[in-house]
Amino acid sequence: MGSLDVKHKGPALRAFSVNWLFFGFALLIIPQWARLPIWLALVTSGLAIWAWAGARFGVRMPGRALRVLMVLVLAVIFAVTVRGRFTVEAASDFFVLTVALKWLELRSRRDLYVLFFILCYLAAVNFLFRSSPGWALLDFVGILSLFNALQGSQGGHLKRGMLQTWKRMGKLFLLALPLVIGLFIFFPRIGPLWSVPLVSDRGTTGFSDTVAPGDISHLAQSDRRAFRVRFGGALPPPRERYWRGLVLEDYDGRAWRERQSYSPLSPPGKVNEEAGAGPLPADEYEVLMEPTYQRWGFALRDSVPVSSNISAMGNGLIRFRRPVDTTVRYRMKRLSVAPLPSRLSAAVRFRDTALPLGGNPETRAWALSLRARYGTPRAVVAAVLNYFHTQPFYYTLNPPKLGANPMDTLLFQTRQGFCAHYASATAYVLRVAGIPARLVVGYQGGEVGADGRYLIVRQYDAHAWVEVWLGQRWVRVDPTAAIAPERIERGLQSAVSDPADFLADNWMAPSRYNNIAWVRWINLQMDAFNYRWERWVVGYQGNTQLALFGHLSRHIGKRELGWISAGLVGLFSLGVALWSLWRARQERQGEGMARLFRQWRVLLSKVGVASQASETPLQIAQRAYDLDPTLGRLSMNFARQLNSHYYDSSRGTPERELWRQLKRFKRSVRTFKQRKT
Amino acid sequence: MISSLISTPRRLLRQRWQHWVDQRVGRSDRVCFEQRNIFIVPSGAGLVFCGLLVVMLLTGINYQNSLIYLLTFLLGTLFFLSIVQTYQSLAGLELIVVEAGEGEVGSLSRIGLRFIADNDRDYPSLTVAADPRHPVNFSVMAGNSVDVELGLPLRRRGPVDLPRLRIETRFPFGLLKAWSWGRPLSRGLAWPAAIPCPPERVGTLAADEGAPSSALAGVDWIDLRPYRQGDPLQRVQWKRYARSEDMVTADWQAGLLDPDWLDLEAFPGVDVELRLNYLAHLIDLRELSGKPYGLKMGPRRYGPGLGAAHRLSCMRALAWHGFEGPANG
Repeated sequence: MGSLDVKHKGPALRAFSVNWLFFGFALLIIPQWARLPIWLALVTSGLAIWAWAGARFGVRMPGRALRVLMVLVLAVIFAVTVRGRFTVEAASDFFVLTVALKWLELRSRRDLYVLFFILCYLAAVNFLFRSSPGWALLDFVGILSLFNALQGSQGGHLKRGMLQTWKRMGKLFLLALPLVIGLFIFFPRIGPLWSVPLVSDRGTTGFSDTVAPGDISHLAQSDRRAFRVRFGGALPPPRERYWRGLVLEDYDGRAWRERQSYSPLSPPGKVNEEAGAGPLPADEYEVLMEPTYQRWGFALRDSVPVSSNISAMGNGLIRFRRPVDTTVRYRMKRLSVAPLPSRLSAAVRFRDTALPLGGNPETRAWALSLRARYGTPRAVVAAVLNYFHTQPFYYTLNPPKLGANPMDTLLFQTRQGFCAHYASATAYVLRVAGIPARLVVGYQGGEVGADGRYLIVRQYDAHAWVEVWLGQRWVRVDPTAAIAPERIERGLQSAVSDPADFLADNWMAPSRYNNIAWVRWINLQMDAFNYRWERWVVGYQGNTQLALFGHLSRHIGKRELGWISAGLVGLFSLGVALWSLWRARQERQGEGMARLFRQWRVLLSKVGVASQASETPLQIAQRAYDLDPTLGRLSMNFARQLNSHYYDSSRGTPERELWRQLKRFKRSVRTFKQRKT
Repeated sequence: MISSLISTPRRLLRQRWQHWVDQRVGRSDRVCFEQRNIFIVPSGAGLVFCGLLVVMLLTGINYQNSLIYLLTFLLGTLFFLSIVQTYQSLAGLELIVVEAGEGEVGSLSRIGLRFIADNDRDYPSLTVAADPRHPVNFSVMAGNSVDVELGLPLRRRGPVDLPRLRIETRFPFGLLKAWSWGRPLSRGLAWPAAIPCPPERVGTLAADEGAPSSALAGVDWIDLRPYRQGDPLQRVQWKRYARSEDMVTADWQAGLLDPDWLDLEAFPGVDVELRLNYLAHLIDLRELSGKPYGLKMGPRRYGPGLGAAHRLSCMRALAWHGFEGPANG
């Protein structure tokens, strides 16, 4: 106390700061880890660990020449691997690379701030890739750690170090929460200001627009969610849960392709802008779809879009205007009346019966014989399904290779396949028989969620089936249902011939253990929480917001929301200012006496009576008495008067008198010191 | 040319600002930092941070990403709350000027400051500076006080108005800086610098022309020799000249007088400031040699005496010469 405490500004960073910066970095890089190219992941973490060890244990850092060399080498590696693809991933990779290089140059407080800023932005970039509650939590903890690092970098003395700084962070976070939530709800969501070149090279989820037999079985190894559907009315029975995504009509002998000639139709009727957030009518359903980085959405047949973010295609499919890069939500309405019968134009009929010349001689002969024997298309279809049903076909994830005449091999030799194999073969057979047929790809089934009102559709529910033109309309024909009916009724897990095949490569997947009751229960509860998070937090976008407030009042538009947000900020500032003023006033009330007490303690400390602010005046005076009786008596007297003022300021010694006493006390301290010397 | 065109309005602006600050912050030896005198603005890092928030918001808007909105709002609110935090890292602190500092012109005087913390608040990271290029860092824990010394270069003899002290903190995040000023009422003091007196002037020390005997009362050994060109006229033994017409000069070594009066008037024709410098040097010589001495400044006399306290009062007298102050007032 009272000691000379003069420290000069040093550029050196404290270990405390570097530790927390490193910790924040470690948390913030985890979401990127899985998608980073391996060299970048290694370089980034290596450089960060090096810098941290340098600051913590004094490990030698690279010199200037080596640093320049490293920057050049890494830039070249980056340029070579990116090869001009401008995608979100490439941009993020570049960003991670800057973070990595900045670690090399962490010496002054200024560097710390630069790193802090780019790491903050990295936290934002993370949300482009990960949006679940767990990742969000990780991200926020990372951000708070970075702020903690800043606290340590201010120099000066941190009493109880980490405890104190985290306490402050926690307090600030809780204080901030009301405004953050308010702004999140009210801040007007406007559309993109300019079009971002959002191209993603990720095709890891879902399927591509080309399906060869066997393409879908790799999806069966993943239990990632594809989408969730909430119904206004009752859930449809399992055999009607066919989610159409793509219609593939061109067959080249190996794979089925989408025909690009369909132009998007304008949405039929009036598109209901405000359908975003209100209660679901009985005939509507709402899909919350995970990002697919493609434009397609999934819907039951005979349903039309209600929300405006999707549009209907001519073949009953729905499409987004741009690739789906975040979780999206859309609403569909099921038509109660089947659409009117229509006619197939000659051109379409020609294309939908077209096949490459040659190949599969056995299948062709068989199909033509069926055609000759049964006559009507309906009867031919029934015969094909009956063949699948009666012959020993196996539904398996690991079918043998099919060779040059795949249909012949599948139908008459191996008889083992997955849905895409059977659908492909069925469409082939029907086309040979002159019946228009096409492949439909999407999902089939869905697990019922925790509250029993929504379905969870996962990647392993991916499915392929056939649609056949029977006179007036396209009719769904699913050969898989004929071979393995339990796949349709109860899902993949109960349908695969060998239970060990289910998610065989993916032993970490929680769904793999769904046959254990409590695991399943926990999975479902977590999914329900996640569903609410994605529905109300991640999916809280323009239309939802407007619909939410449009529900309350017709007069609330974006402009009004802007005003409300500004008002919130104003109100919050006012609250904080008032609180701060009130605290200052509280302090000023006791200030005169506190200062008196403090100065008295400072005086006593000069003669060697050190004291804590928490001690009572009498305790301190007692200590002074132990040191010197004369001074002690004076101290006792002063302490008693201080107490009497505290307990009853109207009858006790007035403050002015106390100040006078303090002056006298000061003089006795001086004489005491002289006496000692 | 252009730079001068730009710098002139900037200088004017700076002057007006400093004038305004001086008006707002009165001179006092005790300052309690509070709402009235604390200023707070974003630091350089804070401005960059605000820019970053804008970029993040744009990212959120363009990618329609709700969580980026959420993150941006969180960072923005933390920034906003840190205004209060930074303010509270300075508010309630009390500054007392303990020592205004004095010393010889050309040296550094030490300004002693005491910072007293509020009873229930820490002040973990503070800087104080008289000259922004030489800040001093310190911290004060709740209920304690800390003494800080600042050096102030002394340039001109006389009382020194202490410069404005700037007390600043950027705690906790360094995104904002809160600062306040103290303008001490106490004045420092600059003594004249010690400059050795050229030898030919030393002779004039026996100042009392009419009564050399009394002036020479303490001299134990005097050398009488024929007058040489350049000898000070005061030392010529005029009585002897009247008697015998021999010009005889009394010669003695400086410092032999006991007590030896150092007189401001003893250097005819020399500039007053220079005389003060000579006297300062002579005082130091006397102190070194350990012989008592006295100082005569017109009607005022100091001493004779010897030792630090005597020296101090002599030096102060020299410093205050010609100024309204405690010695002359």
